[in-house]
Amino acid sequence: MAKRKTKDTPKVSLEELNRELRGYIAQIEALRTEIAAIDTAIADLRAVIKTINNIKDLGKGKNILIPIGAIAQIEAKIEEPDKVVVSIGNGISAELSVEEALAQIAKEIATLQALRRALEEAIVEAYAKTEELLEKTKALGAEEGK
Amino acid sequence: MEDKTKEIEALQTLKKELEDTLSVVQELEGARRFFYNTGTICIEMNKEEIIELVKTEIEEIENMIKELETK
Repeated sequence: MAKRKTKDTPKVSLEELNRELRGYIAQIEALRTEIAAIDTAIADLRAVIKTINNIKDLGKGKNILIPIGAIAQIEAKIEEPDKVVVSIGNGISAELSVEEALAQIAKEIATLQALRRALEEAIVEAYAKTEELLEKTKALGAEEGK
Repeated sequence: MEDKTKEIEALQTLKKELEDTLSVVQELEGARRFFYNTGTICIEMNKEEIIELVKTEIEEIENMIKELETK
């Protein structure tokens, strides 16, 4: 009876290790998805910076096309190229000067980049843990095979 | 009990977001015009009005949290 118990113990541990390993792999995948979403958000913000500068260069009175959803756009005239309305969260937007708007966007990008770095660090940690668990799994597997 | 804790946590997150927005509004010295999106339209407000609005929302959330905690 005691002999059977010792033979079962590594099997249970191996299952536990595999479960833990799958958990870390899922965590890495989730972190990667989050990083991809952050990259998209940063790219969008960079595109906004470009657009603001372009509008400023175009100046007052120029005709532009504004997207109104899906595939539609309407023609509009630039009235105030020095002012930009920026969303600051919770349904609130503020009318800012071009300089202030660009500073606000730069701040937003910096926050996202800091978050990205934290997520990358978490991935490195999860990878290290995965490697460690793989080693343990291999060792246990070999022990079990004896 | 677990649902109540989750609800309180969600409200605290919302409160934190509103506090962050409030500090951004207060920091934006150059901004005179603000807009509040009601879901369908955007209402124009000045800085004082928007600060008042956000503070009221924070107070409402605080009351909701208190209510849940005493339940």
